[in-house]
Amino acid sequence: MDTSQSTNDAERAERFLARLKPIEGDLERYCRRLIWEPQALSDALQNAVTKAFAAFDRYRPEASFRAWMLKILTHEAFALNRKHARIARHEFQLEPDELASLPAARTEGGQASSARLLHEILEPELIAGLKTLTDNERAALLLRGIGELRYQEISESLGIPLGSVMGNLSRARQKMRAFLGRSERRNATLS
Amino acid sequence: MTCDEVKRLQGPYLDSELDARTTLEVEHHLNGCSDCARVFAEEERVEAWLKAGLNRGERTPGLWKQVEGKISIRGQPRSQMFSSSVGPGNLFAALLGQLKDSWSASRWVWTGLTATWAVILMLNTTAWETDQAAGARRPAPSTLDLRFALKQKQLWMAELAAPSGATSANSSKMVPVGPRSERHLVNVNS
Repeated sequence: MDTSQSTNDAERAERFLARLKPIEGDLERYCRRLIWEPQALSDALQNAVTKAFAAFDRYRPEASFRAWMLKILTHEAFALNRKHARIARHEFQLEPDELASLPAARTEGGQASSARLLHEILEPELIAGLKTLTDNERAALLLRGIGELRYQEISESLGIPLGSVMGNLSRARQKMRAFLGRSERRNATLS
Repeated sequence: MTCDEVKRLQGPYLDSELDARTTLEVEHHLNGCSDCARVFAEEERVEAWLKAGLNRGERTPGLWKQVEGKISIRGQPRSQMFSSSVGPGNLFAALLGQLKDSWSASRWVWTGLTATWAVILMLNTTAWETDQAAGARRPAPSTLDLRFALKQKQLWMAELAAPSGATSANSSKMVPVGPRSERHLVNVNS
């Protein structure tokens, strides 16, 4: 009895790790972008993996393991963000006129295209840009950009309607472009 | 499909979230509208660069070794035992599970602890039995001793009950105040 139980548990752990290992890099990148406090990265991943393993019996094999893990990790990261009492939205306020002047920012002077701007993205600027997003905007952008989830999966992960996913994604992309355009203008002024 | 309609579908189109028919309609419009085609192409490049930026960074092996270490090969993760998600009903089962796990992991340590407790318990029991036996061997007081003690008790009670003024009048019958060691010398014949 004890031996068979032990074998089952070992098999369960092996099955879980076999599914976890291929997506570890994506989980880490996702968490690193989502969490406010860099020191909380390890806690977020450990808590999420521990909870996922505890609930592994409830995981349906026909569902996407990646989406399932990202959902758990999202909740964990949000909880840690709240715990660390960081401002989860609008740490860098965007003025409405900056959003309105988005096209000008992309083609300013006929040379500062967004593609070139993004080609020169530095990590701090990317993080700073992400901090201009609300929780759901950031999570939607990351779940799509890193997790490569479908809209329906993002909807389930965040517990929001499909239409809200599209809205959040659209606003997130718009804000990121606006922030990076502003950053480019600032750099041009400094140089 | 108008330019405004197509632009509203830009995100889902680039994310391949549209159905086949709508996708064909958008593509048909883009083939005939250079402005929309340029905006879409620009947006696609932006998205590609953003995605590349987001996906920078490698997996950290040390971190994942630590994370995977949380998963006990025996089944339930150790940290679950004290997590807030475990209800009181499950706590007992979790405790039993933990004991079972730790028993399997270090049987010799548990055996040593059990043996130590057994020795301590045995020594305590032996000491208690010795004390009981010593009490049983103690001789019973003689009748004379008992009568003496009873009389002395009666005198002490009388002294306590008597009013303060009667102390001098009946001084011959009262037990003088003195050291306890001398009180047995009092005349108790009265």
